[in-house]
Amino acid sequence: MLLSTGSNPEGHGKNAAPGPRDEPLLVADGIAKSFNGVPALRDGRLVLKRGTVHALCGGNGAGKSTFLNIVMGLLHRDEGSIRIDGMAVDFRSAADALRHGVTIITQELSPVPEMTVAENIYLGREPKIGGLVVDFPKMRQAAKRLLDDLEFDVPVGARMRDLSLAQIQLVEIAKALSHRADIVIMDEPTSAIGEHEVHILFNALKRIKARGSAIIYVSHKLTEIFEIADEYTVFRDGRFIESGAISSIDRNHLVTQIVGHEVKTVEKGKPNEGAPILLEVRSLSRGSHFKNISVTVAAGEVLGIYGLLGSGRTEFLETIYGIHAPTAGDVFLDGARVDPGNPKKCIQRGMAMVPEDRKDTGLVLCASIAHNIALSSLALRAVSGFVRRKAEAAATDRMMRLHRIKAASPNVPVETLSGGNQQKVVFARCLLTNPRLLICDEPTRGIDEGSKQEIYAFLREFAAKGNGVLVVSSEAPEILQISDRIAVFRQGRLDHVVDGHETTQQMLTDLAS
Amino acid sequence: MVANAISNVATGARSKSIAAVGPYLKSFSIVIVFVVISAFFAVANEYFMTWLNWVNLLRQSSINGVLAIGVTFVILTKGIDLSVGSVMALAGMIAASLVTSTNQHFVLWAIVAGLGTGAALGLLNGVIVTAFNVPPFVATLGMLSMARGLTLIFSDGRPVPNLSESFRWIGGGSVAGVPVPVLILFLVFAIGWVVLSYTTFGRYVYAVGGNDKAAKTSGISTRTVIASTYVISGLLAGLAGLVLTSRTTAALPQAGIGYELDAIAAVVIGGTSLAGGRGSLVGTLFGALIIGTINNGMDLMGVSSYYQQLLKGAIIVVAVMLDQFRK
Amino acid sequence: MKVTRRSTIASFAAAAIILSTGTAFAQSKTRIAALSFGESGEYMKAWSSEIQNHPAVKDGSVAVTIFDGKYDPLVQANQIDTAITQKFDAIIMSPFDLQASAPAIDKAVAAGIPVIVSALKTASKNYTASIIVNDTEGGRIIGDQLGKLLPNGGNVVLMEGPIGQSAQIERKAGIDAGLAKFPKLKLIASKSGNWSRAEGQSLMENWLLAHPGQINAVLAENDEMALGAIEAMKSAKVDFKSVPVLAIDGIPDGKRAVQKGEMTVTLYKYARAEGQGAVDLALHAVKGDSYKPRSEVWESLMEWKGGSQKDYVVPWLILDASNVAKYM
Repeated sequence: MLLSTGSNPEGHGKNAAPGPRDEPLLVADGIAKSFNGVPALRDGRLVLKRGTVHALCGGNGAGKSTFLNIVMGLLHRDEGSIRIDGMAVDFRSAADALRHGVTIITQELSPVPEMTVAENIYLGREPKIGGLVVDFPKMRQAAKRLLDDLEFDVPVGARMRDLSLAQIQLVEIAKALSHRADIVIMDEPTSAIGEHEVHILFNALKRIKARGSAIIYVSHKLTEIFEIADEYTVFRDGRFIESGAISSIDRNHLVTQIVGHEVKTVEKGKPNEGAPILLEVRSLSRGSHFKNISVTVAAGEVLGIYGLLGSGRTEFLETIYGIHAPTAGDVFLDGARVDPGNPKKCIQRGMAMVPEDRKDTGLVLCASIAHNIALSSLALRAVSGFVRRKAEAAATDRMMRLHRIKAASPNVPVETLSGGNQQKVVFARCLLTNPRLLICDEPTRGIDEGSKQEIYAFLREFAAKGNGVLVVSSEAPEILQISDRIAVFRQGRLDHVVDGHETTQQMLTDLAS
Repeated sequence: MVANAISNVATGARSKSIAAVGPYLKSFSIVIVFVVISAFFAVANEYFMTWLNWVNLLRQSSINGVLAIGVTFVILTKGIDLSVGSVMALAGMIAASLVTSTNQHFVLWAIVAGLGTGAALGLLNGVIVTAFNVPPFVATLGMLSMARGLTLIFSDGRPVPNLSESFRWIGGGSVAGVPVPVLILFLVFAIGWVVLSYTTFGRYVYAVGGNDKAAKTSGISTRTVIASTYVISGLLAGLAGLVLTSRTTAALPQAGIGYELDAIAAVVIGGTSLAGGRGSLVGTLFGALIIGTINNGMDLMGVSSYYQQLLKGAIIVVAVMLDQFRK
Repeated sequence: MKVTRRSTIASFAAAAIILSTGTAFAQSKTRIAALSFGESGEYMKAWSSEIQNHPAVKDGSVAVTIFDGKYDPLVQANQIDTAITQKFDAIIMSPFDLQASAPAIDKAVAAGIPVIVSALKTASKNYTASIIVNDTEGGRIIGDQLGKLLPNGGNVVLMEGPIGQSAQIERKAGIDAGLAKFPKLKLIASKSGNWSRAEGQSLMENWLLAHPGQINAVLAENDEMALGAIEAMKSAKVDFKSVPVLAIDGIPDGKRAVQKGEMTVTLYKYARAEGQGAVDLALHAVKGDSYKPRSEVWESLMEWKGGSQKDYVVPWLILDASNVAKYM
């Protein structure tokens, strides 16, 4: 039963049901939720129409996740109503929500790596012969029909561990739809995949739309929202602010609604002509990751590196910073060669790095803000191995104020902070080593718009003091906004270095693909 | 009874669970568990609360306590050291061989030899783990067997008796009424606590255990830090071996079998996470005291050792459940 | 019982059920601490239950607390400390280690508590009295028995206890002395099976492979290892009639094996003699020469001699198919 429904739109109970197509699929109104008397959501509203992608926008603390958790049945609302297809619903659990056709695809995908695509899709509800033995041929057929129907290019027999992240995501979507999900919630689906894969994903979303399902789409990447969404809703401070058709607004309007006030975009001045070279990379190679790359960063300059995921850009940064040893080539800082393969030495020489994945490589999540901020520079504030606690506290305090890190105390674990504040902690840690060259890999990933602008401003300011910045981003508007020059990576090679003041987004994406 | 006490503490902890006081509450709750267990035995047995019994209890906990402090360092880096029981046997054996009636050296040489043996085997553990990427469980499991083998080879399976008077002072002597092993335990605890709380190395230990990639990105030589924790664990196993050998006045080839499990149990009861990055020596110290108290108190009450084992196991599991609960 | 008087600890009642054995005693009772070296072994378990079945314990005039030494000399040393703190009237100790037990025993005696050493020896000279079988004698007896079983000689394999333990050293010395009288018996292999049935089994499996058809007799320093050897011999279809197995201890499984004809001889170490005999010696040490022993072992097996001797030797009983039924 279950097997056939998902892959066969005609047999789909809800889609086949009569009723006006333009009646909203989901209407949420006046949703409120408090935790221990502290309201997290005061007035959540959303009207989701069939066959649309609906962007739910808002900064950290806007109440988006609380709202979605209520829609998903993970939290129970205090007030308000939710109707699906005109029927009032009140979900008690995620399974309950799933029965009503609501499913979520989160940032943390959960495939079983050793199982095949088909096995993953039907995990826990395998078709069985005589109720005992798994009917593998039937399962494969059903999975193949499902994927073909969606035009997802994923082999059903492949093991999950052999798939790319984007393919895994497609499998998760197929799995969701095989549950006859009408409403698919996607939370930051593109945070871990590259531009090409985003393209595949968006094509898939378009096909899902065409089937009459609807998607609630959450992303901090505004470019994507303008590309894929049909409608939008903005929450701020736990309240519904406005909604409408995405075609009727522009980027600035959306940012203003999310942040609550006009955001000044960072102005970048031209760097001084003839400024001394700070970083020089000479013919650097590392195996198959990147080959023969030479580039310089002048004092006062922000050099952007633009390239697709897998273009070797992250490995390039990590090799400069000494996490990996190069197979050939050298790195010079202030004209002197840097010992390869030793981050500690790089820090001592004046480098600092904000890694791509702050949870995986940037922060000790279970440790406190203070301990994280001080981590790289402990030796600077220690006497014969003993930490000078007063000096440390003063430095931490200064950094927290400087970067406006919002937390109850410097002693709370960083895992309790929002993404933006966590990223600021990483920046603070890097700055305490008094770096001259700041290396940033996707510094605004998964961060809300307000914090993004603060980070841009900070990077420009840092460079303006005569330091250098090397920044990787896969968001073209971002790289254009902050870089003086842009190095375009393609398949492990540095093809072009273009002027950041004169290049357009279109030129950049053309060069990279 | 203990389970009751622990869950009472747990509900108390939960109701006030503000992130900032979490760590303090955590080390506090173990103290409460200890006090409750002690209070129970104090009521149940008239001898429990005597000075003499507390001296006994502390002395009985001292060897496990010293081992557990060393193992805490390793576990904080997300590692494990299963070899401490065997390492202490070998260290004790080598030290003892230098202070017998037929081969008598100055006691300091025996101490240096014992500590050196422990540190060297710990270093070997550390190198195997960091330079060859062998999982700590496997590396130290191998060492558990190798060190035992070396002990048997070195001793030809025979005990080494008749140790010199000055060597016997380490385990049997006392200063101002306090037994030397207890002084050693407190000294080791104090040094360990200062190292973990006040030095850069201590911070690195927590950071490496919390997230080794982030620690590396932050410029920490993660391998050196991890290897050092095994050296510390080995060194303290050597020290515990000296105390044990001195206390039993003979080095036995079968000494210390299974001691690693009590040491790990003390660490775990003390709230240090096997996933690394969280925990404290205060917890470990009280973890060791709780195990010692249960053994001592139940012996005093004449409870069958079969039930003692059952209860000790239950306490370990409940302690970790409590830990999960708090997260 | 003190516990029940305090209402505040009523909640601990559940635990108190578990803890029922120890705390209740009147001050007039004689209190004895019995330190078993390891309660998970069969002989020691028998030893401590014999102690608890002593007439004086059963009628309530003596309170005994059993301590489990867990095969660890350190644990035993700690338990001696505990017994001193608790001011027991006497200590019965079965020392796990010859050397390591000495300082603990000296300490207890110095604290004025008589110590009766039972079942295993100690290097201490200060104990009050001892009641132990003679292991050297036991070894000599099985060596001698084997010589009589194989008058024409043959190849013998020997399973030893943990090298260096007093029982191993002495049983080995006895066996050597016993075999020395029969020059036609040739010891072709000997190794430690650490008192363990499993180790004995694999040891025998290896020997049967290494010396096919050449093994004429098996000696084991305890029953457990011999039982392991018997299992290996069964798998290899070795005839028990032509290859005798001789061992020491007389544990129930060993006696059953003798009854089935799988084991030829075992020496019965009478747990009651070492256990209950020690209780009488302890009471003698507490109450003085007027004390009359109450265990039947002093009638059937040993002489009391006023209770004032330092070392009592418990005789071995030689069990074979002819007499084993009596001791089952």
